[in-house]
Amino acid sequence: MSGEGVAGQVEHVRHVRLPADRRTPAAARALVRAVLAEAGLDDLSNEALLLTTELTTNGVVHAGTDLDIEVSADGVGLTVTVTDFAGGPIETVLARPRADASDISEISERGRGLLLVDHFASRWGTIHEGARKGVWFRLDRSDGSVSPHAVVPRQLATGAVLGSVPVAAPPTPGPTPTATEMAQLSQTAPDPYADDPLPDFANDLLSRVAEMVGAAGGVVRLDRGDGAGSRVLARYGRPPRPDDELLRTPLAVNRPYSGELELDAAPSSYAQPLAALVAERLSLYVENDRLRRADMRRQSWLTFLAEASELLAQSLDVQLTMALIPQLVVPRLGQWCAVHTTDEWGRLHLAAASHADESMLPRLHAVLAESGPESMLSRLREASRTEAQVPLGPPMEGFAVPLVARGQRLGTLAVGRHQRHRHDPDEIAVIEDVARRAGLAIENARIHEERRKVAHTLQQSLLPPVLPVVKGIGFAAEYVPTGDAAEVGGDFYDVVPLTDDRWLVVVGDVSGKGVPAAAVTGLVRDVIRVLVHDGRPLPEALARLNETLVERGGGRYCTLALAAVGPAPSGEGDLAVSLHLAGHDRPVAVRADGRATFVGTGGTALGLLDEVATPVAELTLRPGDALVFYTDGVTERRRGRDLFGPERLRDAAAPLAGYSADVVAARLKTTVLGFSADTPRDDIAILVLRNDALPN
Amino acid sequence: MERPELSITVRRTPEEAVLSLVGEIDMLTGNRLVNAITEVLTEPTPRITLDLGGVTFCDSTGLGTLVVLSRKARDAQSVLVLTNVGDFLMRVLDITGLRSALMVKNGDPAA
Repeated sequence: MSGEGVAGQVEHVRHVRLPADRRTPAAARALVRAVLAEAGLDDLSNEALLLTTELTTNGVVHAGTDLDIEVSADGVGLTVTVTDFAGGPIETVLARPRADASDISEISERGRGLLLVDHFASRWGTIHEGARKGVWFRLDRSDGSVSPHAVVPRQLATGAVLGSVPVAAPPTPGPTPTATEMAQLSQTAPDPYADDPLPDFANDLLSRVAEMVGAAGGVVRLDRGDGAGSRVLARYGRPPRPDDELLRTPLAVNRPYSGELELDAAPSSYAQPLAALVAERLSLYVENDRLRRADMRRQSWLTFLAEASELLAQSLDVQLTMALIPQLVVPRLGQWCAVHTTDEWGRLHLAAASHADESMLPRLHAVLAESGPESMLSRLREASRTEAQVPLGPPMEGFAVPLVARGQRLGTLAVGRHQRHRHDPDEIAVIEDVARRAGLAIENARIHEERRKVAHTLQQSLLPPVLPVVKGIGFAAEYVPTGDAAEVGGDFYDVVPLTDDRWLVVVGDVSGKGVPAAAVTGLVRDVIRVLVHDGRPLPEALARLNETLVERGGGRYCTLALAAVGPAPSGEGDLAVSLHLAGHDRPVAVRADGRATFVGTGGTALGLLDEVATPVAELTLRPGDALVFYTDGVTERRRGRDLFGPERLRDAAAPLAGYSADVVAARLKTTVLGFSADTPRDDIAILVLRNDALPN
Repeated sequence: MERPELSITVRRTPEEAVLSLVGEIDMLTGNRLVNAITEVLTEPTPRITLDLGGVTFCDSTGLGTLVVLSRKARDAQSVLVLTNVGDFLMRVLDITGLRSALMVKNGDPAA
């Protein structure tokens, strides 16, 4: 194994692994002898063999593991490194005072090995690298021609034997750093393509500066402020001994980072400025690292918030929203999470809670259930009252933020701290953001629920709760609200008594949906009631209603079917029907014999034009005949691209001849709903009027 | 390595026992030297001379052995004398401060 040396001289390198055996020192000597012969360094042989034996013997006696022995030589000297695999500190009896006593009984027989190494070696040191530790020494020819790039155990061995664990080079105690070394110190840079180049870079810088100042060891410590505490970013050489003078230089980095460079070296004239220079360079890249990590964290928080918002926005159910929040928070933002809501008297109620450790959930519930001035609940009340963040003490550490939306106190969000560290400011900001979004989501869900209630109430108020019971006339209605419970449809129907003992059947459909449409529906119904109550003729009533809608309808229009029903003058149980259609679908007349036809003529919808045409059709319903009114929710019921249409209704109604109004209405509703699997997109209203008089 | 690590020949006279050593003294061979001297001391002798002229190598373990043997000799009312100590070993004895503790008589081994 030989190759080109740094200075262009031939390097002779040998490496063996030997067992912990009494013959090992002799074998190591043989190796050194061979290298010395190859390198022409026989004049160093006495010292080299002695020191090699000292190190090897030390390894055999104290480590008891295999020993790796590397010998490398160039033209001017040789380096021998002996490493072992035993844990713990290097077991050497370091340079003791010389035995000046001349009484042999007072003299120890041991402990001179490193004294000899210290005396003969040009320099020597210890190495700690992973599981390996050891001692090395360098012997240079005494003619003063010290190699500028002495062979030092830069690489302890070839990868095949030891793996490619790089070992820090021992210090090169040059008198002063060379310009080249200085330049390298300021020119090394982290690998721009590495995932995490900082440790390698720190190790590189540390070993360079340690070599330059002749430090026996050194450490770069970095506390990223993530709760993990101060960690070793880079290490060089051996750990400092207790009474060693250490050169410490803090790294200039921003909070929450902090760090220092520590060199086991005396603060010599140039060591201090060099350490400062290296610390400064390191600080720059550590600061970069901090910014990069902060950026990455913020990006991931942004993604998290976006996802959380989307999830929360989709939930229009208050209970579901509450249950969702802890799932979003745990475990990403904390160990546990509890959501409390404020009731109308301002009291807090637990809505949902979650703990990363399922088995801790009962404990969490127990803590949440406690009462008293120091309880968690009282802290939560404080958060809600002050609308500010409140820290929570043991046993469930964390903090609480108020849930506020549109100035309303909705409750609190309590988040437990992480198992290992406290929340950092970024996380607290994210939690506050989650609380804001959660507050809005809860508020939205509440508003939605409120609207649904209003819609339901409004709809119910627009329909006559019970149709009147009239002798000889059967009235029946079916009404299916649109699929979305919060939307109010514009369909309505009514049966109103007229002043002349007749009844008025009203079926209508106001354009549009929702509360504004419902308001117009109410208007139409009330205007009709008032007008017919005054005894106005129907055409006039329709004309007045049209005027009202044009003026007050806010652009909405309305189709109407009005039918005044009363006993026919002919007697014989017949019913006379005056049918007025204002743009509404023509009703189906189902005769007792099973014929079904559309009756009436179209007319103009109300609210669109100043003048309306509402042609009247007079027809007679004989006993058993029925008239079926419906809204466009029926005819526009959709199956794919296929509409239910009026003809299907007519065909469905024909076989129902002879059945009571209730049955006809119910069967038709079933038929319409069964036409498609979809939920109705529009209200479906069906009103059946039947001549219930018995045929004579 | 089949070279003889340490060979010891013992020559006795009424005044002394002379042990001529050839080879290396280290952790492997030190015991052999201890055994040889223990053997010599079974018959009391006023002086044990170790002729180190053939010793090519001696490490600190070897020095330790010499210290032990000196003590042993004294305890047996004898004295251990080193002769023909090589230059390098002499340096080592100086460095370790053992030169004054061990009895070194370079020159005529029989003196």
